[in-house]
Parts: sequence; C-alpha cells; structure tokens
Amino acid sequence: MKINLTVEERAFESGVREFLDNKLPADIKDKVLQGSPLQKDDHILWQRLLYEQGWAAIDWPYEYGGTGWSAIQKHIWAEQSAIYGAPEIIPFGLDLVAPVIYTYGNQAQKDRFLPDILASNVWWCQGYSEPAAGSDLASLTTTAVIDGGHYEVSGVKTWITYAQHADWMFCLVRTGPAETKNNDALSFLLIKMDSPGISLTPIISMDGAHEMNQVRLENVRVPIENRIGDEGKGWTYSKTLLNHERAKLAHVAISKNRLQELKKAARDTLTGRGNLMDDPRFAAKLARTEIELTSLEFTEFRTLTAVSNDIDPGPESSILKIVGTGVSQSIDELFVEVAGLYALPYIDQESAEKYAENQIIPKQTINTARLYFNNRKASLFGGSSEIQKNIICKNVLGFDQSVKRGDA
Amino acid sequence: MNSTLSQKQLDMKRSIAEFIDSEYDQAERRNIIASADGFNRAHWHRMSELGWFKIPFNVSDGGSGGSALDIMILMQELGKGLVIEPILASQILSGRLIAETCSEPTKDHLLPQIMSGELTYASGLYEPLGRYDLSYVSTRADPRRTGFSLTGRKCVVLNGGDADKLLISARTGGAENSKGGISLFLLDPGLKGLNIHKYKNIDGHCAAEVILDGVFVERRANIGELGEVLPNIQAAVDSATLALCAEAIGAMGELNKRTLEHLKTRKQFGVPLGSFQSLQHRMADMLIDYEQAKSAMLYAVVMSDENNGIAPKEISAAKYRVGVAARKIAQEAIQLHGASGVTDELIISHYFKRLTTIEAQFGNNDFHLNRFIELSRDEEDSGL
Repeated sequence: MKINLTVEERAFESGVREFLDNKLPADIKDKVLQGSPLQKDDHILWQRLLYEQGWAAIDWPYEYGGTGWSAIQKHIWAEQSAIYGAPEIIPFGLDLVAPVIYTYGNQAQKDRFLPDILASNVWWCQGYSEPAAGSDLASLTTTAVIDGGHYEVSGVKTWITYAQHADWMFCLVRTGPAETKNNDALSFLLIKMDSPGISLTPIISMDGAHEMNQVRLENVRVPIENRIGDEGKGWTYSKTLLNHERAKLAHVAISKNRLQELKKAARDTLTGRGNLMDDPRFAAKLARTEIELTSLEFTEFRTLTAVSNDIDPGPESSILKIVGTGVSQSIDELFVEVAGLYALPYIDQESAEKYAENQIIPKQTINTARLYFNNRKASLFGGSSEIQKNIICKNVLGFDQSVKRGDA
Repeated sequence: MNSTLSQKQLDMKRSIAEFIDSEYDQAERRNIIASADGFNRAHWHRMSELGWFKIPFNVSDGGSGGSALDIMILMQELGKGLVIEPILASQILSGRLIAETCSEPTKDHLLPQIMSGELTYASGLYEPLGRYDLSYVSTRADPRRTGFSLTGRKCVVLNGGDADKLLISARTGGAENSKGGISLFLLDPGLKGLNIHKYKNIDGHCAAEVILDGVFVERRANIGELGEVLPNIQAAVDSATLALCAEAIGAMGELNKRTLEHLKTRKQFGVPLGSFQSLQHRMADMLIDYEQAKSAMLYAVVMSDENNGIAPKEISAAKYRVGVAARKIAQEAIQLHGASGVTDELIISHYFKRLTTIEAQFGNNDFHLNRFIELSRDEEDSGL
C-alpha cells in the first residue's frame, strides 16, 4: 500500500528514521532481522529507550503518556520499526493490562501501576487460560474467595507467555459460583508473582523455546485493592479491550518487511534454471500472498482510522487477526520452501554463528524452520482463529449460536 | 493394479508393528534426540534380528523382499512409530544405490554389511547450489596416478555424521550440471581432507555437511560405471522418495487417529469438540487428504513394481500429493489440538516436524510438480 504523505507526515517519518538510526542497538536489530530469539534484557532495553523518547505507549490516551499520533503516524511508525528490525513491544503490560487499568481502575491504581508500566520497570504476564479452559474461558475454575481484606486465589493457569520473567500477572478469576454466567462471575485481579503459594512449570514449545509456562496458585493472598473495577465484571472489561488488541495482531508491517526479504531470498536461490523467482509456481504463491497482505494492510488502515476517531473497531477486528496470522504463517511456509534442504538443520544459536562464519551452513536459513514452528501458535493464542470466526458469526453476521460459547 | 499384501507381507507388517508398539520406547526416542547420538544400538540390533534390514533387497541379492510394496510396508510402520534410526539413509537410499549401481562382486561384498546392520551408510548426493537437482554436481573427482582426488561439498547428508561408509557423487567429466560425467565413490569417513560437520535436523534425525578438500581415494573406491551413474542415482533416489511417501502416510494416519481421538474426548463449552460441525468437516477434510495421498503413493508403488522399479512420473505425483497432504494434516492436527499441539511434550509436534522434514527431502512439492509436468510433456512428445 502506497500512501501519499503530507509534508508534515514526511517530516514525521524522517524523525522516526533518525530515532531508529541513532537509538536502536545494533545487536538487537541483528537478532530481530535474523529471527533469533531476544532475551528479556533486550526487550527491556528497547522499551526503556522508547520510554525516554515518549514512544513507549503509542496507543495510550495522551493524558497517561500516549503519543496522540494519527492513524497515518502509527502506520509510519510500525512500518519503519519493521524495516529497521526494532523488537515488537511485549504486549502484556503496555498493550493489555494498562488499558484495563486506565479505563476501569481507580485513581490509586492508576497512580500505582501506570508509571512503572510506561517505563517498563515491571514485567507483566497474562493469566487467562486454564488446562480445562482454553478457548472456552467460561469454564475457568481458578477461584478467588474473600477472606478479610484479601482474596484467596487457588487454581492453575496455563500457556502463560514469559511468566518466568514476570513481576506481576493479571488474571481472570472466578469470584462467583460456577454456574453463574461468565460475565457475572469473573473478576480481574493483579497478582504479584513472588506471592507465597505461586509456583511455575516451564512448557517447552516445539521449536525448543521456553516461552510458555503453567502457573499454579495455592491459597495465594491478594489484597482486595488489587482488583480492577467491580467484582464479577472482569470478563466484560477484558472483552471490550480485546477488540483493540486484536486489531494489532495482524502484524502487517512485519509481514510486509518479511515479504521483501522473502523475495530477496528467492532471487538468491538458484534452481538449475535461473532463480526461484523464475519458477512460475513459486512466483504465483508469492504474488497471492502479497495481494492478500496488501488488502489486509488496507483493512487494517480502515480499522486504525476508526480507532483514531474514537470509534470502536468492533468485532471486525477479528478479521484482522484471522487474515494477519494466515498471511504471516504463509510467509513462514514460503521461507521454508525457499530454504529447501537447508530448512532442516536444527542448530543452537551459538553453533549457528560459528557455522555461518566458517561458511558451513548459510546464515539466512538458520532460523527458518524455528520461526515456522514457533509461529504455529499465532492462530491459537489471543483467541484462536476458530474463536474469531465464532465472534464474527455471532456479532457481525448475527447468527444465533445454539451452543453457548465463551466469547459471547 | 494390485496392492494387496501377501500372507508373508501381512506377517511382516504385523511383526514390525508389534515391535514398535511394545518395544520402541518413545521416552528413549526423546533421549536419542536430546543426545549427540544418532540412534539406539540396542534398537538397531533388534531391528536387524527381526529382519527389517533385508526387506529393501531382492532375494537374489540376499534380501527378503526388494519390491516397492515391501519397502512401503516397512516405511509405513516406521512412520507411525516415528522411528528415528537411520534406515532411510542407510538401508533404503544407500542400499538401493549400491544395488542399482554396483557389479555383482561389489554388491556381494557390500550389501551383507548393510543387511546385517553391522555398518551404516550415508549418501551425499545434493549440493548447496544445486537445490534438488541430482545432476548438479560441482564436486570434482580428479584422476590421480592410482586413484582420484575429491574436492567439493555435499549438503544435509542424512546420517552423514555417524555413517561407517559414505557414498559421494562427484564429477569425472562434463560441466557442472550436465547429465554425463557423474561418478560414485565409496569413502571411509576418516580419510584425510574429509571434513564432516554433524548436526541434528529439526526432526531429530542426524545429518551433516560433508566437505571434501582434496580427499584421495584409490581407484577401487569408484563404484558403478565411471561417468555414467546418474540414472542409477536417480533410480535409487526415486525408490527412497517413494519410501519416504510411505513413511509420511504412516505418520499422517497416526496424526489423524490422534486428532480424532482428541476431538471426541476434549470438552469445551460443555461438549466434546467433535460435536461442532465446523470441526467435524475439518477432520473429514483431513481424512480425504490422507486417502488421496495414500492412493497416489499406492499407485506409484504398483507402477514401480510393474515396471522394474521405474515409475518416475508416478513417484513425483505421489511425493507432491503426499507433501500437500502432509503439510495440511500436520498443521490441522496442531490447530485442532489447540495450544497443547505446539508443545514439545505432546507427540503431535514431533509428527509435525517429521512431516515438515519429509516435505523438504528429495525435492519439495514444487520440485515434484514441475518434474511431473516435464515427464508428462516428455511422454506426450514421445507419443506414449
């Protein structure tokens, strides 16, 4: 998508580029562009640099430390960040819990939590899913029972990304009876991860990474003042904000950049009769992906414009999530195809560097399969594609769903 | 057009399945993947005792089978059990290569060691710049007074880091990608100038980059006809490709079985997942894909056996169709299992990785689709 920028927008773009030129640490940039895993410190360092610039919380209201940028400015920022290889923001603090706090929290909670989130002084994780409640959040069983000035929380939360780094977890817990309807029974609690009674089990994913965890809570005491908003309203709060969140899960700018890299890689791949771009079958697949991505970009732009004008993007944001993950997963697959046999070696980062240096295994394919594997979760997390379609069916198309679903 | 198994073949199938069910321990398989080792010697020994390694060879070569159907039976079971041992690299690819290429005395010398499992083999046939083109051989074998000097490299050589013997294609004549001038050499891994960089593939199988830097070999290291072995190499690779298709079918069948079980038992929204029609249809699509891929594979097996092992077009069709189904089924199996599908703990992701690997080996989907088109065109041109 080509946008004709105004003079002001052009100046803004130069400013963004200048910032990225000067501030983005070279080693972090390399890791991002190479698809190598980032460490906790890498993320924190980058988010603090953004904070110092005043760009940590692009979407927050201006009064709390947001940027007040227009849809076009946000688009420019996302695009340039992807081109430069800036890490994506870890969403749990800045994008997920903060909006709940500034929208539904009281003044004391805002004062207590927002500054540390903005400055990336604390790391957050999200405690929604449970072993028996994946897509079906209605059947959450982690309970919080009032005992004096505290809740006592017990249960098991799972698939928690980066819980091992987290200082705090925001949680949906059951404060009403099991048979109560979802939206009247769940509350939104903030829980300190070093509270007695919390234990953590790592979950290793198929690419060998440790990102996910299971978190067990045994009679964990949580002060009542750590509940955001009213008791029993937790689901309503988080659901409202999910529309905003989903709109960001399309990862358009990153996919665009990867598509350019993919073309380059295909051109550099010899087939015995020219390069891979000369193969009409491959070229067609690439073109189809590009067309889908450009269309997605415009769909996203329509949504961003709506958000900027304070219009709720609504359940249409589910479309962005479904198509966005589909496109990014297609790009993963095409990278695997381009790599050919070199998609297969599975080498740890340290050896990979050495192998690449000694020209034993090409550097550009070292993370190809790993990324393909890792990104299979994209269509499962943040509300699976199936759940997104349920949302569209119910809230956009108005189908009467006879079976009760947790996304209602 | 018959793919019915004989009583002997049925017995063999049952025996392989029994071993994998009762003795092939998945915990041990995980240990192997986590270790530097390529495979478990005790497993290897038992497989030899059970006669598996003779299955890919004709009775006249001292084997017990040798037909594509025999190989299919073995590989399908290996696919179900996600067997990690290097049978494909050693017995199938290298074994078939020797059987296709060598004279009787050489075969008599080499094949027994493969059929007993005493030695394992690896074949280096692909190069970094040749992609899937077997005729792209830039590795040179320059004549010396009493032999050859080999220089070049072979990439992602299966079992290349553990093999007792290596088979390497090298050029004794012709330009980089001409069909003539390709020869085959048998090498010991300890030779001077031979650098083998071993690693694990994404599916836990061992592989290696094999770099030859003026490796001197005696004249007798050349096996098969000097400069004329590309057709033999192609035939052996076709045979291994078909074997790989059978393995994929075994793996996909197992994935479908496990996914169906999950849909019937996992409850969300108060009901089994399988009660949702949209998920039922996806499972139905997975079954359809599986059956179509299986038929493509079986057709290639039958055609191969009816035409003295020569069925390149049908084998490319099978590899393509199997590759398409493999990707679809592997992805759907994960998606329908939900987040647990992407964990290392659940075996679903291990099937996913094996199937991803299979799709990339011996030519990916596009490669075989292109090859199918070319072979069809050749057929039409020759008026067949």
